[in-house]
Amino acid sequence: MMDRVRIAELMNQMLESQGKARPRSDTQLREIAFRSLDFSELALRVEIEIGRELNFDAPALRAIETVGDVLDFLEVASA
Amino acid sequence: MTPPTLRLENRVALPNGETTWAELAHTTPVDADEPVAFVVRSAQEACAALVGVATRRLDALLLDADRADAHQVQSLRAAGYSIIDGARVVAAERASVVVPGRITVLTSGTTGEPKRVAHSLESLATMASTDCLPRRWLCPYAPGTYAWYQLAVMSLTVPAQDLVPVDGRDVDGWLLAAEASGVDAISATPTFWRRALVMLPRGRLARMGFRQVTLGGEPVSQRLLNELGSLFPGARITHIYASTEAGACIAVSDGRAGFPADWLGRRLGTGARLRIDADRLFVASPWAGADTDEWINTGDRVRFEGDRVHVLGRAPTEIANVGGVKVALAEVEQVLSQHPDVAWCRVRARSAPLVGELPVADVCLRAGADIGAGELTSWCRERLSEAAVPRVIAIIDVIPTTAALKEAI
Repeated sequence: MMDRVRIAELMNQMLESQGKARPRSDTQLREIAFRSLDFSELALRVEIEIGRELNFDAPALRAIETVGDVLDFLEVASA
Repeated sequence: MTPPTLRLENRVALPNGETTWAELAHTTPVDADEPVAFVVRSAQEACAALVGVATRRLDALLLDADRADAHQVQSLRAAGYSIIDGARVVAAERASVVVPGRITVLTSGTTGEPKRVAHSLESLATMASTDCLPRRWLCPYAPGTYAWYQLAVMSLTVPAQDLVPVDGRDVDGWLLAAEASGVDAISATPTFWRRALVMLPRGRLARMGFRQVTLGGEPVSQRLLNELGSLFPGARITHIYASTEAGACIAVSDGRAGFPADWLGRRLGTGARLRIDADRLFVASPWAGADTDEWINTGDRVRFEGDRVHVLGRAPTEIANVGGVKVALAEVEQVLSQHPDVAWCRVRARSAPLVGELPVADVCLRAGADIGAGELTSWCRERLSEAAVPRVIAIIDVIPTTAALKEAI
């Protein structure tokens, strides 16, 4: 499993490369224009670090709204 | 075609000393009255085998030891070849008809199982009837490849063409050999040069003072032609189009990428004719392998730009499907490669959650470049749609190459 702190670091690196500020955990994804491509990139970066594909739970994916939701989701998916 | 005259007086500079083809002919391993495959483990073994095959009109194939895996050896034995590996001889599994003078060349196999293409000294001696200035050629190709035969047979059949065979994958090694041997001509792939331009000091390369630089095996960009032109201002730079099956077809020396569109439908200096059908290049060449159709579909795509035709290489099989958006990876690669600090790049599709696939890239930077992946991502964002921007860019130190000095796929 990748810990939440490391996932947050990866997400912050991504956002900074897009010229965006570091978000709070309760920041809504639409506020920072974090779209499906960005989510996929972050998930891919997690997969590269842990060396295997993530296990996805589709219903949980649809429920994601905030930055904290993304971190929680990827932490569970990387277990 | 009549057999070319052998120029056994031409010289061959080997790692353990300089010799002539005549002297090497005395060291050829065996005479044979059956098809034989020589497994060669050094430049000396390869050259000795070639001159033996040429002088005795053997029915033979040269197999670089790196390619002589159990599967390949078994395949050759099943096809009627006895395998000669130094002093060890492994008999063919079945008898087969001997064709004196047949030299069988294996394709690179990058698009599947290597194919055996029947050539001869005559069909490989594409320069035998051409007036050539005296040259000393650096040959960085692996023995047994079509490109290796082009250079080795030229040295064996054209007056005053000496050969300096080296391992082109050993970047320091080939340059040291070139410096020590006093070469003034070189034939190599664009990937070979991109790799050299990244890994070797330009000043040291420039001091080679090549008079002839020949490029082939892959599409040649205008940018690379310009770079080599500035590095070797006294050189004639020629890019050629040739393949194991089609033989030598196109040779362009005007400093521009692509070939003149008005060459289509004409008989060229090489004797080849060209036509385009549905964006694919078809060639008919007197240097083609035996048992091939008159017109060969090369499978290579072409593009017209003004008065030139550019050969783009094999049709891309990789289109990334990024959340339903089709992204042509070749276009992404083109944009990335235009960054001034990028020496080489490869873009591919990688499966990714949610959107199916994402473009990712491996990039080799120019010597002295000090940028990170973020800079390259920004470059792409300014020029590509959001779906086409490579989402992960890995900076690598060495351009991966195959034994044929082409990009490793």
